[in-house]
Amino acid sequence: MTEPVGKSKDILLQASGLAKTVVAPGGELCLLSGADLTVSTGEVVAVVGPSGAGKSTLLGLLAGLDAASAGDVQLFGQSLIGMDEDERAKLRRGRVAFVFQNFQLLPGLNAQENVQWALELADIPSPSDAARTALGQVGLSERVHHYPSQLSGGEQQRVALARAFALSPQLLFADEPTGNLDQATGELVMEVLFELRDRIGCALVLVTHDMALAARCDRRLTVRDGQLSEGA
Amino acid sequence: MNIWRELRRAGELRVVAAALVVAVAAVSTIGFFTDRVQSALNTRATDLIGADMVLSSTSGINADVTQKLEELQLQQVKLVQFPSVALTEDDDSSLIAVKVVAEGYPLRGELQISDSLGGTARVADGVPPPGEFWVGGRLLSELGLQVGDKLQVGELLHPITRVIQYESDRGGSLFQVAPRVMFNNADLEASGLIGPGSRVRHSMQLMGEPEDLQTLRDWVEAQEIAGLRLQGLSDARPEIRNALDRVGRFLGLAAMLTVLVAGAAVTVALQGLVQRESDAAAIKRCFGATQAEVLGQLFHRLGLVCLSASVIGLLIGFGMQAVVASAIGQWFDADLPAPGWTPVFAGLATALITLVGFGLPSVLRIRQVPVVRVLRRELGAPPAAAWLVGGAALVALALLLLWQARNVLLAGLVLFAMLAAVLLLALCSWFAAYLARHWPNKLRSGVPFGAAALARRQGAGLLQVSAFGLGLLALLLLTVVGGDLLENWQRELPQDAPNMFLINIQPEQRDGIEQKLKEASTGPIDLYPMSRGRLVSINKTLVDPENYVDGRAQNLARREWNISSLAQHREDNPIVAGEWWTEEQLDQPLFSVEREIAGNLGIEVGDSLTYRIAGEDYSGVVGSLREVTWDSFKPNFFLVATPSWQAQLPATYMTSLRLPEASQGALIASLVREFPGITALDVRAVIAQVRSLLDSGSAAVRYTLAFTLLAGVVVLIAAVQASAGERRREAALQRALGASRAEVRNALLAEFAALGALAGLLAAAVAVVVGQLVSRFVFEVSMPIDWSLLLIAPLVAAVGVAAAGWFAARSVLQTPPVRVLNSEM
Repeated sequence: MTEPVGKSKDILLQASGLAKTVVAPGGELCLLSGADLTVSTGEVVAVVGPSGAGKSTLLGLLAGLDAASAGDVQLFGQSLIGMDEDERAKLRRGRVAFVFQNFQLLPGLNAQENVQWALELADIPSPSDAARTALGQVGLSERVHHYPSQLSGGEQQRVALARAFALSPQLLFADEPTGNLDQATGELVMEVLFELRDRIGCALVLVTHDMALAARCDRRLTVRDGQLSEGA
Repeated sequence: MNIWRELRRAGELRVVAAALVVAVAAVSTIGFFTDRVQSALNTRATDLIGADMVLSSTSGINADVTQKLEELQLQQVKLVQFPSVALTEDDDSSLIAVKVVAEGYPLRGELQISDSLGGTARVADGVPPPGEFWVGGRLLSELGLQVGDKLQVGELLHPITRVIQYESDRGGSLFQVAPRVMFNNADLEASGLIGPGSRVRHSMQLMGEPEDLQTLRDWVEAQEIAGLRLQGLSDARPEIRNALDRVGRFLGLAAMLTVLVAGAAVTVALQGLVQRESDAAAIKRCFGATQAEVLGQLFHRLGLVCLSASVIGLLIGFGMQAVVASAIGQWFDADLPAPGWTPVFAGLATALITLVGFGLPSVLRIRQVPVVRVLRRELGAPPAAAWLVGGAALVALALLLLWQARNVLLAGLVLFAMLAAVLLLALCSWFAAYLARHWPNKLRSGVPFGAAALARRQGAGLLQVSAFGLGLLALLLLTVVGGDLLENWQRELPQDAPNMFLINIQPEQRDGIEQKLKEASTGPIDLYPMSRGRLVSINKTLVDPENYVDGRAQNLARREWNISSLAQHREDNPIVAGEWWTEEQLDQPLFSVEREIAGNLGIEVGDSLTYRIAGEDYSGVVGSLREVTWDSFKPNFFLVATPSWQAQLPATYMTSLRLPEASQGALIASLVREFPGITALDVRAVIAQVRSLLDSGSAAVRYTLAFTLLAGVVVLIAAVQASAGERRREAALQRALGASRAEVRNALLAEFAALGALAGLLAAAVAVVVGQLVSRFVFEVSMPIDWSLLLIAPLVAAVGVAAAGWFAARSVLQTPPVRVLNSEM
């Protein structure tokens, strides 16, 4: 792993007073409130907390996947407030990548194509070669033509890792990447994830409830009852 | 992206493609066929009339006209056409269409002949020489004759020397009941076939400079010569054009039914596709794709599917039109030309309008998939508003109908009928589902579980039953109910209905024929005098066809009527207004008019009518109106007069009689030999011909409606696919909780069988009701209800739908329950 990166480096992501409320049958429900956060270049941040605490909500707001009810998010120095969905998508393009708990591969595409479309979207040259190289880096050279339904859970998640790292992103969001995997497979996947992150040096926001994983990160943030705090 | 692989992997895209293939195939089948017919009519306009212009009249071309033709120095050829009977040396007979031609025929186009039946056709270098018959191939087949055999027509007994392969002025010989016999004008007088009052059409083919022809047209129109018809290139064969136009429109509208059902399949399938694509859209947006890019990719794929499906549909349509053309082929003498490109564009437009109209509101939902769905899968695109989906579909359908019907009112009526049928089926299936839901049911697995599934999946069930039922309804109405109607019409003929008509009996032949018939027939022989005249005034006001709005009234005002006389009132012609004439009134000029024709022309009891018969005007007063049963096959007339009034007119006689079948042929032969000018019509042959024409027409419609049923199957597959996820979960849960494979399979089969049975039952019930209404109010035939339809249709549909549904959903059983349940976590 590279040296821990402190707040003094270039700031990629900054959130202040971030809140999310939704309308529920019993009235307004607060999912997150008053969250402040900064993530700098190459920094590895773990977000931990019990189920339903608001971890995924925070990740969605930070990545601009969802709009905040209050507060501001600055991504690559640009405020997401006031941006429409397309503008936020363009801001992420080629610079932000994701790894999800349920892999989120496109079922109609084989492993190589699942990596390739993301590279094409980011205008990366020779996307098919780059996709095959990325799959080779996660140990799936022999399975490039397999469809998601023909791959195990661990293999699917490695395809998702290849898709994320092939972009050489500046910022990677990982939402419970081992949540759907058994322990041994989960450990293997996390080894690959950390190895590739070290090689590329991107910032990582890792949502997890695995404290051992969180311990491998530079910083740890805890979400509990919609409140974000530094530390365990 | 490889579209074939896409189609292999995405079931919804396959359904969209299949629905579009069926819709395009249905529309282009009809498009290609009507295009060929239209192109035949347009490109062979001169062929159709065999000249630049044709004058025709039933009473002969008068001297004034002949003089005008000489004056304009137009090239002329005289033709005489009439029905008659041909007799073989073995006493076999056949009704024939005689054409008497003169040297120079045809002025335009060509006459093609061969030396034997099926022999190579060549252009004739003249007309039949005197003493020879040239005949149509059908006559040879019907009578088992060969070239060289002798044939008797009237008093002529000549050898057949050539087979007619193509007559330019016959073009599309629509409703061609009798085969052709052609002979030379020099033989006409000797034939003894023409007498006063005979049903003869005299024509004059003309050729000349356009300005001379125009001068003639202006002159004829100014002269207002009664009964004289003038046909130019622009009005060539209007009856064929109109009839084919109507057939084309009807078939087009039938094809629209397919488009409607296919459209329903497209809507269901695209809703499923958008559901499936929601994940992909969210993940792509997550990685930076814009809404436009996501939508564009989907449009691109659908565009490729649309194009591929259109090409396949067009190829199928091209193949099927040949089948339709061969079904209606007997209407035409010659091969139709190859179709043009218009149907191709029409097919592409159909696919595009169907896809956009029925699918766009669903597809546009992809823009509304929230990106955060990648984290919270329960968030999806909001369902498309029902009014938007329905509205867009309605607009698309209305556009397509308007395009096919070319008439706002007709398109509106058909649209209304289609929607009413869909609503009725939907309402009935909703009610059936409601009953199923509230039925006490303690068993929760196997067959009852499956049947109850229809109620659980109410929305999808409604659509499945309605769309499949619509396809089935169309097919049932045409094949079963249509067939029954015809059968019943024939059955309604009384046992003693006449089976032969004799017409064109000259006054001097009357006594001889009556004597001969009395010897042969068991029943009484009534010979009716018959004159032909045109109604020229009602109460001294001139009858102008243009003054009538109703097309039938216009036609009645234009054409010649068959006029007869009777002393005694016939009981099968009940009087509905006025009184039949008494003994004392027999020498007065009194008329009895058929009720319907009187209504059409506004004729009432007491009105004075004037008829022009053979150039003279004769008047009389309407004494009564009569009801006539036309399909009794007894001689009936629009106008019956007192015998003294008719005595002053030139007339022939006619009669109908029932003869034992065994002796019918011999009697016709002996009558024709002894009285050559008469024409014998075999009623059974006429019914057979009408039936064959109807059969060929309805076969063409059946082919079109087969597409509708196919589209119904596609909807079924679409709906099965749309609920496949739910079904898979249910099956996995059932199996996880201990249900055997057989129980799950039985439940699935029961669900589909229940769906098929319900659609079949509803379609059969609606078909029976519509069939009864049509038979009573349109055909005025009483048709017994075919209750077996209510049993057979549900049974056949249950088996068919169970098989189709099983095929579409068989993967449910093949997927291990653990995988299904895990994937849903």
